[in-house]
Amino acid sequence: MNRAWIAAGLLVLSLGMCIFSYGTLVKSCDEMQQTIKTIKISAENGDDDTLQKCAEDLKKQWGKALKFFSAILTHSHFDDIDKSINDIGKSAGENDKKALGEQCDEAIYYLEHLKESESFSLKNIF
Amino acid sequence: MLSIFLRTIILYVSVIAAMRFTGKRQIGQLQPAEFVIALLISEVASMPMEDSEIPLLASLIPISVLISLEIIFSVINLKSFRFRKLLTGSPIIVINDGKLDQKALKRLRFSLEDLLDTLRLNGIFDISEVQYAIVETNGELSVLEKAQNRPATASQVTSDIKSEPIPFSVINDGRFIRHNFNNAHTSEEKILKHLGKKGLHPKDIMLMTADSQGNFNIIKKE
Repeated sequence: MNRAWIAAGLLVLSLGMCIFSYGTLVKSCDEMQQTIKTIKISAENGDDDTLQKCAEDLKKQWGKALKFFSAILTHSHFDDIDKSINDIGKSAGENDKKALGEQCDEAIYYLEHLKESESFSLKNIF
Repeated sequence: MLSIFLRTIILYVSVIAAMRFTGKRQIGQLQPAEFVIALLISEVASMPMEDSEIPLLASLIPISVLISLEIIFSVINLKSFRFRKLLTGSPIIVINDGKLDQKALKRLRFSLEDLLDTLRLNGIFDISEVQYAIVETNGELSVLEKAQNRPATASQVTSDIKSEPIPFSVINDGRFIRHNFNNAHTSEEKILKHLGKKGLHPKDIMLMTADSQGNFNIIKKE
């Protein structure tokens, strides 16, 4: 009977880990999407200080998220995000505002797609 | 490559712990559902071993969920007859008093050749010698021969039957197996005294067994 309780505990723990990892993933993606939107607006408004600060913040946020994503996701699932966030950093450094807009849209789309692919929905279950 | 090495160790320990946690059943005694679970666990565990892109958690979580469900279901199985019937099915009689139940065979999709093979493996070459043959829930065939064909048991031959005690290992490769002392109704002192009489030391012993009637058997090291 003890074994059954341990098994039930293990089941709850597994479920808890899944819920926690999904919550953390959504939170990280939302934060990064917000930062990317600010980068895009700053680039459009010519606000270089905010742009550089946000680009730096995005780099830190991604560095933190990458460790977590590596533990819960197949690595190829976030390769595109990694590339577009690196591109944003590069374009921000070079002040290439034209490329930045497209890269921001791309990164926001990939992050949104990642959230969707991990969400608890009928589409993902079946 | 080093990470694959470490991952393999982690997965090996996890799978062994998971299988130990489920219990002591042997592969041959597994129910079909348990066999499928064992296959699933091995498959899920092998994925991150082969592909370092897949995170370990993607394997450890399914393993823990499968094991948990397996244990919870086995507990419900013990408590509920209906659930047991639903999950494992019921044993089905295929030969009754020497007569073959062809409908039961069809229902089981069990061919006559399979049945005859299994009977022959049980030392039976004639269906009419069988009182009952039952296909168990794990797919094995249990056979009861008719009384006139069954070998005589000790109680049919003599009324003077004494129970035989089981010998327990008390020394293995020179080391005492202390947890068997109670079962064998013995102690370290008694063993040393017995060895002393024969001029032996525990280090000289490959295997020593003792039973509850005070009998010892000694195999010396060569």
